[in-house]
Amino acid sequence: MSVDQEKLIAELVEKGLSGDMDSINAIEDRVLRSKAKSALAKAKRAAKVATKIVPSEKKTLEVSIDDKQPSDNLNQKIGHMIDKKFPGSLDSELNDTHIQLKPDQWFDIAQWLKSEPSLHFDSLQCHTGMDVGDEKLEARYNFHSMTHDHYIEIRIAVPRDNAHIPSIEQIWRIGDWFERETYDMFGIFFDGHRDHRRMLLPEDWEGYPLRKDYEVQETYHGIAIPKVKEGWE
Amino acid sequence: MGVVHGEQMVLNIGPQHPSTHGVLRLKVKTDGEIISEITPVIGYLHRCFEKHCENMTYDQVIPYTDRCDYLAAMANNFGYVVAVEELMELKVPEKVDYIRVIMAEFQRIASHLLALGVYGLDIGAFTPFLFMLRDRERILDMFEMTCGARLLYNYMWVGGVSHDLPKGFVETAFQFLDYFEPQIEEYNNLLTYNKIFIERTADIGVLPPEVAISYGVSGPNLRASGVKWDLRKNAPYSIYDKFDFDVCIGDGGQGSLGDCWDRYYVRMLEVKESVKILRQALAQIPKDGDVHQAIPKKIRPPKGSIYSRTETPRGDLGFYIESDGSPIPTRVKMRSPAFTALAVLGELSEGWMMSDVISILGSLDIVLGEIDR
Amino acid sequence: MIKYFRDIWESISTMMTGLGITWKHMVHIRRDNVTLQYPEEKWPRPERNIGFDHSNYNVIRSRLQVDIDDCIGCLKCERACPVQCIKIVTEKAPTRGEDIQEIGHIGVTSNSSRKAMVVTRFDIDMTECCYCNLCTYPCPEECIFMTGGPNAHKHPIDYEFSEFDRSDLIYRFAKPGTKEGMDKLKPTEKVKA
Repeated sequence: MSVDQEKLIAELVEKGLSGDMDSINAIEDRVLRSKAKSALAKAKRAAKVATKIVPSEKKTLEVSIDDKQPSDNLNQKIGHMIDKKFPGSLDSELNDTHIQLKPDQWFDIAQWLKSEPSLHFDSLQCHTGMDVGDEKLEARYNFHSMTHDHYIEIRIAVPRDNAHIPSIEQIWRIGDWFERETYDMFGIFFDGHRDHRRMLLPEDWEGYPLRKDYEVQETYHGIAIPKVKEGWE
Repeated sequence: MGVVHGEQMVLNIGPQHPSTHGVLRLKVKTDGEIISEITPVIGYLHRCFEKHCENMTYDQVIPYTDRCDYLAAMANNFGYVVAVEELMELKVPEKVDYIRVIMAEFQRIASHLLALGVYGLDIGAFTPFLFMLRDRERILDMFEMTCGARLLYNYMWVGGVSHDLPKGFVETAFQFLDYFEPQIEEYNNLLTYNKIFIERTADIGVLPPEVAISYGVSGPNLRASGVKWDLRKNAPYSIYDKFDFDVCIGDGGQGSLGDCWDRYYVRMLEVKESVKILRQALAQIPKDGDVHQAIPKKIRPPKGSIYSRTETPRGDLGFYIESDGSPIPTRVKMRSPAFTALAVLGELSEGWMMSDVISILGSLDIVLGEIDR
Repeated sequence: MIKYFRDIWESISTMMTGLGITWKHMVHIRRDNVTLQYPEEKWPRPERNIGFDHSNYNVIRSRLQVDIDDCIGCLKCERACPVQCIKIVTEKAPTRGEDIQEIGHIGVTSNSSRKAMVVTRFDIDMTECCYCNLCTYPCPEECIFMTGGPNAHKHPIDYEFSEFDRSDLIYRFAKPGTKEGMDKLKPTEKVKA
């Protein structure tokens, strides 16, 4: 690119950043116009990233805190309350996005989350599984309270080959189907579930599809699974 | 004369059935005609949507989201796009917001018309079905004018929409709304207040609000039980806070609160509210604006996860998206409203008779594409 | 007892209201009929005025068509397809922008950009295609498009393309004989391999 082309592009980017796209669109040469537009996009992205680096996360707190003042963020506040009532159940430091728990006391914590009047999480919105790599699987719960209109997210990590989490289907009745689906896709066992079987895949399917190391089986009851097309390779 | 004791029979309402709204299998344990237990078996339409999403870029996922709830595809696109934009903290131009709301509300009318028509068809009324489909065709013609497709649009993109509204869209839309409002009266005369329909649907399948919330039921099913919860008012996304409309709740007009008739009637009221929103949006839409201006060249959200919900015609559609900074998502989970509605079927239909089960299933308005993904 | 008679009266009156509506529509059938009698009346040239003016449409989803003379082999449509139903194989042209008469390769597209690659294989599997239109947007030459609508000047609308055999639905748009022609043109590579 020649020097005056670069200068022209810098000028156009300045104009574009202040909202004037006509001078860019009026250029006849398609190559120059596309170069100007890509430079403008890069400049806009740089501006956005510059404003986003705001230190909003608190410094990492220790697991068992007792006299630190919790922030306004709901995950932090409720994580603090859980830690006070069920000591030893937090699995990592408190942060703004989620609460990480250990699976042992999960059933009691879940009952407390629903029955405590100031929290009253009466609806389980979404239940996902996640394959987080290095031999761990995670179950993530999104809760919502209809009375107080607040949301939290809880994550429970378990080892891949021994994935057992207490089931909460007696507390939130939709947990029944959600947990069956997570078991079907990830292979996390929910202890205490009254009807523990696969949901979407057939009962005799092998493997857990949404894990990252899943290999699809070759045949199912004699039918070849991968598609075979002639004339198309 | 003594009492005749029957024995339990297991009846299979198979995957191929005209009244089950898709490939749904119901294992029904009956004692004579009275149901004692229903177990839905799903998975016949499972297409591994979530596994596919882990191999495609964010904008290639959008045709796949269309096909999950194929009767309200604009709403699915809207939900996904709102989630990705929230993750990327991307702001869209105002015109794009207006276009999206207009399309979503038209889609709501179209989907509710189909739901009501097919419900009448399940009960046995053939005429309202065809009348409602005739009006739905006019809405689909308007969609075809804009994006070329009638059912699976791929219209809403991350950061904008694929095409601007064509010339003459606003006039055609106003003509349609003027034609459509008297038609709602015709539907009420044909079906809603028909005595046979009321006998088949009132007081049947009553859903108490606590059970509904515990099962995660949302949308018109929840509002018919008296709970005033609408995501467009309680947690507004896009520009829904600029419009003036009411949240319709059931009131037990012909029978108890939360029965099948209430679920039907709430959908009918919502169609009227959508017409109100549409009139306001079509009057306020800005005339000029570039709909492609905020579409990013390469969609690369920052590392993180998000759960966001939107209000589709069937309820709360939630997308849980996790990204690790690359153009391909790590995990996309779609939490569909029909999944929770089907989960509550077993609880609702105990003690009713066989033909009531068809009535309850029709009033829940499920689409198997969304449940199985 | 009164409820019994009231129920009977309500049933009859609501049924009469419903029947009255259908009777009205039946009497006015010439005005209210909305059915398109396919195959005698085909969209988008209806004999009756149903739908909107064809020229107002933004885009129409129909069969995909490729003007192979315009394709520069950039592979953008292949990358954009969500179901991977497009397969393109290109080879470097010996001279950029030059026609090659033996295989029918035209060196310059209709937008006056010079082609650097020769497309030896351009297959679209219409059985996999999901008609999402995502391949048409990135094409710099607009050579892949859906027929009809705003593209009617390039190709009239075509939505009736069913075949008897499934392998007939794999459309091969590259000119036949291109691959062999290119192999013949480069004898030096063959000697090396």
